[in-house]
Amino acid sequence: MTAEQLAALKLQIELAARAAGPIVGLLGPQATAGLIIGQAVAKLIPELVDTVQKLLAGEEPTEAEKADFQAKLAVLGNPDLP
Amino acid sequence: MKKLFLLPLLALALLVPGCASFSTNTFRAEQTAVNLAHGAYVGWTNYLAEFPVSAERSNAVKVARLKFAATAGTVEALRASYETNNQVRPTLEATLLTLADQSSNIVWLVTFFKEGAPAKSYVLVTNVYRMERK
Repeated sequence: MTAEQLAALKLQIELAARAAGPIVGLLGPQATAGLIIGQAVAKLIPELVDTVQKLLAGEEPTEAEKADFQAKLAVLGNPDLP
Repeated sequence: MKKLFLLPLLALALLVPGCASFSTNTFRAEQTAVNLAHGAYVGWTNYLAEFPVSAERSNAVKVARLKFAATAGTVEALRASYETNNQVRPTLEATLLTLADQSSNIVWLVTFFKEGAPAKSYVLVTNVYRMERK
């Protein structure tokens, strides 16, 4: 990968983090939703970094990772959710 | 433009050297795309719980999400086929590129609807990437 491609991937991860939780500042510390969003972001970044590292290492996926993948895919593909 | 933004994922899947199989690299690229899309979607649902959103915007995210999931299902099916028939590899690569595109689309849509406009740095890097590809 070139430096520009790596920069683009890094920016994509940063953009996903922003998409996951930029309203924390708008809600204020008293909002419970802010805590939930903060937790989502705190989980997302290490997860993405971990996935990219495993991709670079060519590591075989575990059963737990496959189950997590299928669970997320089921959420994303649920037509009853908003 | 958005497609170019996630090309590094595909490049990772196709060009990572070493002994890892193409199928494993494909799964990791899928996993990254799903994590990105899922993270953005969690943020979107939290946003929906706090702020009013027009039906048009809500529907746009939903359509993008369902298209992404359908494409991810196709990639998984092709990946399973690839285990016994390597002739599907070009189709699998093309579908994986579409998946990366749609993941980027969800992230972009959610960010756009919540913040009003994409960040300047996003446009800048995308343009740099586009120039490099020409």
